[in-house]
Amino acid sequence: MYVAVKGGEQAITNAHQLLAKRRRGDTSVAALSVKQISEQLSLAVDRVMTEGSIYDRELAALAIKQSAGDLVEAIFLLRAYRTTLSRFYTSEPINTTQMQVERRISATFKDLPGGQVLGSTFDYTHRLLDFKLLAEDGIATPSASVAATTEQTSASEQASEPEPEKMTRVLKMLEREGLLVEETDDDSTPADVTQDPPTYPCDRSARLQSLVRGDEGFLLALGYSTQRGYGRNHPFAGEIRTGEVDVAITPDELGFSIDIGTIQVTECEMINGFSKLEDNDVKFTRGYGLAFGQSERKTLSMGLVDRALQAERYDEERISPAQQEEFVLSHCDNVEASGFVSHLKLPHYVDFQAELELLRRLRKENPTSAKPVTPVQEKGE
Amino acid sequence: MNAPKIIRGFAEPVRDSQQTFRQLLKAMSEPGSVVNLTSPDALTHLYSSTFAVCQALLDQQTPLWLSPEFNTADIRHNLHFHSGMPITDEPAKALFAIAYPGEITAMSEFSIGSCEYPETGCTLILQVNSVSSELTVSGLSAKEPSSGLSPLMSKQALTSLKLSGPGIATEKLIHISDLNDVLINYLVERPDSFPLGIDLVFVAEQSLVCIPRTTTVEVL
Amino acid sequence: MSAATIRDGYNFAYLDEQTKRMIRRALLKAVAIPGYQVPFGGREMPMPYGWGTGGMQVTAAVIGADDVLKVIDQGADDTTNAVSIRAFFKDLTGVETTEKTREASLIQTRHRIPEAALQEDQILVYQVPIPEPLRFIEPSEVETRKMHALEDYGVMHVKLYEDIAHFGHIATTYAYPVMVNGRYIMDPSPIPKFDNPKMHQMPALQLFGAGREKRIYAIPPYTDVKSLDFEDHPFEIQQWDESCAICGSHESFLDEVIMDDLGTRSFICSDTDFCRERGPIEESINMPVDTPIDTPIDILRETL
Repeated sequence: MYVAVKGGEQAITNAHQLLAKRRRGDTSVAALSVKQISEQLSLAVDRVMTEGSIYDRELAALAIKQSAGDLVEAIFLLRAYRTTLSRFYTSEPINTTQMQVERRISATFKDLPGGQVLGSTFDYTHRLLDFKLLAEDGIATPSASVAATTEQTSASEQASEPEPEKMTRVLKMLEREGLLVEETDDDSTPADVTQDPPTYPCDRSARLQSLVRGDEGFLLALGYSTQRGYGRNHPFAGEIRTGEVDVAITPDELGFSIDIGTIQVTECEMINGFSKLEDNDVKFTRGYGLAFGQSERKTLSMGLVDRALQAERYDEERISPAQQEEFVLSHCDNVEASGFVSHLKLPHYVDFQAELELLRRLRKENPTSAKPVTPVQEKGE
Repeated sequence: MNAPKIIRGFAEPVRDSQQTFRQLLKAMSEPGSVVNLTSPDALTHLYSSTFAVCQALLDQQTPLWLSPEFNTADIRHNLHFHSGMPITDEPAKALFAIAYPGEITAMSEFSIGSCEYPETGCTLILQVNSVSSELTVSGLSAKEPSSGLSPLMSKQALTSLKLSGPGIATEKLIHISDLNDVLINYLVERPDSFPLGIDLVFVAEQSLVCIPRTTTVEVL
Repeated sequence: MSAATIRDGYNFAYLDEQTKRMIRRALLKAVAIPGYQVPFGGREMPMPYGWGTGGMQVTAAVIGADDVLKVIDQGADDTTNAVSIRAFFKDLTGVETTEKTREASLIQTRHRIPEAALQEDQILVYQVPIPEPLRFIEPSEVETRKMHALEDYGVMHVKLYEDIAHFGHIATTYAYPVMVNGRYIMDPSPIPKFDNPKMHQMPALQLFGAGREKRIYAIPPYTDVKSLDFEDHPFEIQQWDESCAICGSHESFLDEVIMDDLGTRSFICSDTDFCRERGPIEESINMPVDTPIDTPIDILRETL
């Protein structure tokens, strides 16, 4: 009998208990620690921090644990927690040129100052299940089979972590030659989409913020669609870099900036097909992606979509989904999207009753409507 | 120059802000309803009631314009200390403004919002000697204006207004002191066609009444 | 008064003070511009978007220690989501709650307006999924905003008229659009159109919160709210041939209950407080008031 949606207090309590039990699984298996998650599921942690909009590995790992690995749910947990936090300061802009680079590749130049640094990546792994991991247990010595990290390093240095270093940005070199549209800081205060809802058309800063918080899967699909011709923008991965950057604040009472820590970010600068500019000059255009941690798929997708959304600026016809700013930005947030999709589980019987009433009336008035196959009994008549 | 003195704000900010807001919500949704509100201290000639409104509504996100009478170091410093709002010199850029009615020379100085975003119209807070729904209210003529009172607020006649529109069942009578012709004209003529407009908050020492842009006003 | 009963580590009513101020400012502008959707910096709440976060943020910005809160979903106090939201506010404000419409100073609702007439100084907070009444005709926010600005509502009338051409009736049965104070077309939230007339000149203050869409709007007390219609097709509300199987009401909105696998149907009031106040028509229908688990449906099944 369907009475579950009513009389709910006890039912809710029971559901919560069952959920906790399911989350924990078989209690004869050791519980997963938050530390283990943050160390060994670090890419999941990176995604949750990025879309959850808090840089805190421990909280993100906790959210992943609590959500039983449902990352959209984990992102939601982090966002809900974020709402309760006070804002003390707005940091100075991070400077990714000063990044201590752990990984840096450019698909546009074979070699360049600083070189190609592969760092840690799945890129050239053969996707063969590694059954050795089945047996891995306890505290192991670091595996010696880690792939070469930089192409320049000698064989003897293999598998050792390269010293992070600062590197010139690839796109800067093209800018200097006048081949690429420049991005300049106009010193205006960036929008904050978490404080003021975006209005369309959007400020670029608001757009990029929305994309950073946007669902990786959604942006991946949209970015992919531009490559297949729906808003094609001829992309080249100009540079992807991952590493630590300093975060600084300037408290009013001090009047000068102080470093408060470092965060790991991944940045993708896409070089896109050239376009005729307002002043009749011709230059390459660009798309931008940034995320916490090591989140390459996200930043690449973001770069593609960011460029697609500049269609108007370059006088391109806006006919593809990835080029529709309002469409992309108002649907990219997975906390909003999953909430609204899942709300269909809530009772709607009042509205459904209203529809039933009308449909029955319409059918009664319509002589061609088929009569019910089995006569329906009305109680008490 | 003496450092401005910091006065006390709400005793319990969470509770007091909520209560002040509820009074404001009632006043704004029922134009002509007189509500009471207060804060522990007045801020020189800024009433404790006006100060309560500031504490409840203003912060870093709300540019405030202060009329010359209110634009003193004491007031600026205290408002900034308690609420942190930016003070603007341009009334057109202010989401909130505080003045005596006598200081208003043209309502067109304030933002009326845009047809697409009419909520960006200014909330103009006007400090007056009295607001009342009854003419017989005591303390109106009997009481001398308190010491910090501006000469612009010297005993002016009450204007009786008949209000109708959203929030009012049939009509409501309200008596407000110190109104000048600019304000009366604005209220009666309604030069900005709805949804554009300025929402007015009249604040007396302990009480407050609102006349939003939707209210039809008749002078009796 | 009840500060001691709030969950540790959280502010009264969950939201921080700055967020409350932002919502409060939006609410004041909303009542000053009846029916206009004020954008606000909607925050993530600890419940999913689409589950009432807009209504909750409005309630959180409005509620004080002296309030008496009632929460309903589908007209009932005991639906799971209503139970969950009520528990949230009990936990984070410590306010008194009630199931009685008359005793509440603040009512948060999803999909219904209580049957009992609301009074002055009561506040009704609606949870709104899609605040834009023109959204299903014109998906672009840029366009609909222009339409509201220019009072260009032709498309809405065309849509309703096409319904009549197709079905002989206006085919909108809930979230039926209204005109507020003769200016803005407004979505009344997905209440059945049965409830629309209650909004007109209501003595209580009506506030609407859409969390995911980040809009707040309002109808002050005693404001004109007219359901859109045509002279030759006047607005009309739902009617049932049946009456409530428990209290016998002919005037209330009825929920349909399927009684068995053959499709035997029965009808009961959607507004559980209204039904309880009226009491059972027959003594054989035993109606325990104090056991929340005994829902009207349970009672009905027991007595049949």
